[in-house]
Amino acid sequence: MLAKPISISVLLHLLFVVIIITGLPSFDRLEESPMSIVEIELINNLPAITQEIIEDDSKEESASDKKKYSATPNVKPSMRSEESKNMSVLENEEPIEKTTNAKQQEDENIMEFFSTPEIKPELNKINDKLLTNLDYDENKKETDKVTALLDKFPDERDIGEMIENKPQEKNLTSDNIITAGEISNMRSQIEMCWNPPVGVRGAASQRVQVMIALNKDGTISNVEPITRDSNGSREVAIDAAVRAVLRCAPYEFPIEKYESWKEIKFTFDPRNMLGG
Amino acid sequence: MTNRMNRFIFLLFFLLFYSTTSQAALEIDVTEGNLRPMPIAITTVIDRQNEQLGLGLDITKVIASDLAGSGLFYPINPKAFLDEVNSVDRSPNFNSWRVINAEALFTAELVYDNERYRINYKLWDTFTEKSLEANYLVFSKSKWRNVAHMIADTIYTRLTDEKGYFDTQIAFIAESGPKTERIKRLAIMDQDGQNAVLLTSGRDLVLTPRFSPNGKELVYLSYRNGQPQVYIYDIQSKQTYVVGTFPGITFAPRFSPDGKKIIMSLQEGVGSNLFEMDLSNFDRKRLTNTSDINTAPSYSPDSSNIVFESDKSGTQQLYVMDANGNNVRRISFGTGSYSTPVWSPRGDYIAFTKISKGRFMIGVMFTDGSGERIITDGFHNEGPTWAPNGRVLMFFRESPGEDGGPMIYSVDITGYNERKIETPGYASDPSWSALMN
Repeated sequence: MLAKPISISVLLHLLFVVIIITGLPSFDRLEESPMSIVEIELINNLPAITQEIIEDDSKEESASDKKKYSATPNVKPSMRSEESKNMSVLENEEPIEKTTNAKQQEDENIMEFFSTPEIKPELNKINDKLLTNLDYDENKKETDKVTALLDKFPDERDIGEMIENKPQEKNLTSDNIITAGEISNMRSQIEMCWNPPVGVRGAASQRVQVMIALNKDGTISNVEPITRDSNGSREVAIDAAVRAVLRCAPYEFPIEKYESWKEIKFTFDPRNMLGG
Repeated sequence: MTNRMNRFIFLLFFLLFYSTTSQAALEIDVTEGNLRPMPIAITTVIDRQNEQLGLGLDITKVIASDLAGSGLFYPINPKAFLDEVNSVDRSPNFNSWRVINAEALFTAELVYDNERYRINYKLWDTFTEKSLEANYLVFSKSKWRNVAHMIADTIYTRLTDEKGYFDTQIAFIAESGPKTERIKRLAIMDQDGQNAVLLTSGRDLVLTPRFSPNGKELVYLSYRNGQPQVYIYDIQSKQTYVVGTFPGITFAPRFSPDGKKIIMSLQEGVGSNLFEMDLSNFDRKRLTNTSDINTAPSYSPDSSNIVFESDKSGTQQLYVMDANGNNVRRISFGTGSYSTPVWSPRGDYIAFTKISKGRFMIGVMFTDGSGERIITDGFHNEGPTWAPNGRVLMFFRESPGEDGGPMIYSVDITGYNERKIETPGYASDPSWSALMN
């Protein structure tokens, strides 16, 4: 039973590492592909558009309506479709607060990015693909798809926010992780419920692992002994461990930390009780 | 480039958080438990056909008494039960048993059929809600106590992982009369003190009875013909046999684990030596040959070694030797003297009587002499004997004073749960049988 979760965990970790290493350019690709269209079709207009946005932005800011609008380089690809309606939707959906300087800096970065030669072949490939598709709706769908993906994955603004709010994010994470004190309380609770067979010969080696899944109210939704007879643990020892877990339920943990305690793996080891 | 870096850092945070908190289960190591008697609900054995005889209730009481006596179970008072069991076939309402804290539930019913009883019984785990044991026994009425003990053994085994010891007997010396003219008789009883039977008249002094492994014979010392000799008593036929013809006093006999040999001491001059006698041909084999007092031999359960006491160092100490008498090594080194060693049927411990500073103690040590532990201490404790599962000891304790006398006690090898065995009178020198059925 242990093999399955471990293999899933290993696979997921590997997948994540692979995503980190190789997957990042694909995010860029997704984001940049419409941009590349801009490059081909509206390359000359781009600075103007950028400028326009900045102007709009400054207007909005001067109108003291920060909430309503802020431009972002990500919006630019949508503008390629020359649908100002589309643009405004995006604008309204994704308000962001940034200083003009920061935006300018980003615009510079984008320009720098566009001028990076090694990206171009790849971008062109996608451009070609998109350009051959003459159906607008299809094209729109493609754009929507990209927009959807952009919505799904954190874009630069979000990342910017994350970075800016880094300390806050850190606090949030540590708040969600169960504390050593809470684990210690849980351990004490379980110890009161665990009455292992210690008289039998070889009792010290009867280590038993039990995995439990918990509901949000602390009741048990599933109990699964991981240890089987293979390592010398006998049925009675396994029963005693499972009984301990069931007897002690429900468990009291902070609901906001549910993600941390929804699954618990207990290792019952009676060695200490038998004096080593 | 900064954006890409930012994105990368964010993803790293995101993935780390995701993988460590969302995927991996919280891990908790539990290394200390709460050793306590397990609460168990023993419901009255249903006896619809012969309820007036109360046999179901009698069996229930014996089972509960056995389990409570072990110290490992706490039978819940039936008055606290919230649910009634009307059939062993139906699955119980586990919640009503959990509410009263019962971790296990025993249900049974008797069926009377053609002058024989059949008891169907089940053992449930109230928390996992699974059946731990479901079985039946067919018996004649006279055997109801054995049946109750056998069921108690089954429950004990299923819940502790150890062999039971309830369906066993104790051979002992029943003592009566004033201290100066004490009459000693060979006797046997159930391990809970019930069904005591006197086997000899009391005319001859008898000592140190020991059960044969199959529980059908006793080997003991009797002054039957004036001088002490080792005899065998056949419980079924009530016949007595003298063990071989030795040119002197023989004493401290004990069966080998296979029941085919008897090991004992033979007085030689001022000392005594150990001999082994083959019961099939009465051949005797000398195991020690010294001028010391070598006595109280006991085999290891695999018959490969023998533990005994000897005063070769000046005081009585414990020694272990190979079964052929070679490789003698001392194992007791504490202060005081050690005697009556008995090898545990489980093979891990040797129990002994220790005399130190005028006190008589019962203790156990590992077979190499390490880990000595005193189980009980007092005015006079002597003669330990092991339950067949090697978990419980019986011994006798002499009370001081003119009217004082010996009584048999049992104690867990942890030293807990000491209890007196109720005997008709004074009783000494217990010997625990193997499981009877």
